[in-house]
Amino acid sequence: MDPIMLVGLMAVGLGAGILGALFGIGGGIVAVPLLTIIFGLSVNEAAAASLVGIIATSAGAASYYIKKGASNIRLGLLMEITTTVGAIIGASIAVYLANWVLLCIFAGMLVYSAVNMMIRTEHQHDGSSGKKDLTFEYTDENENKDREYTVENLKGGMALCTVAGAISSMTGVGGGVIKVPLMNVYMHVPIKVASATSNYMVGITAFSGAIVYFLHGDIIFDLAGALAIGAFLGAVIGTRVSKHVNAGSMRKYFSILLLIAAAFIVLEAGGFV
Amino acid sequence: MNLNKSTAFALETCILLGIVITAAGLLIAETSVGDIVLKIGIFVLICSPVVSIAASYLVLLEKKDWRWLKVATVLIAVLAAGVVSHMLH
Repeated sequence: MDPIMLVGLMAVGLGAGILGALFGIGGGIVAVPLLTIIFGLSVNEAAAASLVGIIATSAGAASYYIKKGASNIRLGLLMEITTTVGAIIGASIAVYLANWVLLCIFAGMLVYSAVNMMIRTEHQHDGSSGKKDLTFEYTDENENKDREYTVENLKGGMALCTVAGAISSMTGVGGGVIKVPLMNVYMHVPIKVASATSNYMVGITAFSGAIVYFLHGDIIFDLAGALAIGAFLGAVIGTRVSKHVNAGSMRKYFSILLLIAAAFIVLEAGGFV
Repeated sequence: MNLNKSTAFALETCILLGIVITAAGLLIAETSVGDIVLKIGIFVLICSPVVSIAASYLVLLEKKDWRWLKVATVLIAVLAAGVVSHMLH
């Protein structure tokens, strides 16, 4: 492979990895447009390479967050069930729905989530829910404090995760941008835990797509490899940066990211990208 | 065994192995074995999330944490269904 292309792909992976690890979004929303526009890959080739990059980001970041107790493995396993079911349903019904309508609905959901995150303050756990099996603890590295939280609205959250999985598989836009606000705003999971748990989940979600691309021989291995190495390095940097970001700033930055993602999705719906 | 430590260890080991093999594959891409090394690296990398679920599963089994073991079992079944469904599409 041309060395300039190799470095370029690693740089795209690095950027996607940093953003993905910081916010739990995987990074596909950044990588796919860049791979198609700058490197001239087809959407299918870019999606296949991006899935490998998402796994590298997810594994690189989640291994750190899990070790630190920020990723909630149990919650991730549970919510991943309905996300995957949603993705299967979405893939089956995608042919019956216009893609631009779905993209507009998705963009609307992102704007709604962004506004909610901006205007509402993070729910503080008061220990009154009494749901011991859904109460967890994590260490906020920025404040160096152990914090307790209780997962609320679990059933509703799982149902909404099915919808997120379905829309995600129908539109090709990653589910992390929906799962993080869903966990944070609706289920009252602290933003740092929500993004760390989402980091763990996006890798599992990407696996089922990536393994199929692999078995079908649709992955361009050198491209995907260069992207994955950059994404892994980005994830390592992203996890270290996240230590220095407080929860309030993280919610603000995430809201801005959601609005930018919504704008890109609307442009995609209109056929501009 | 600790759920977080074991899962993190499995994930970290698998991803590091995948990245190292992939990097080696890229470095020797021009040789006759470059392609196969690269392919193995990407495969190991792709399998990292599943290896972490397997590690979590073993810990939950060892702890006899039946509730969350059921959750992990259902997830593995759903993931398998997802792969089959993707293959059919």
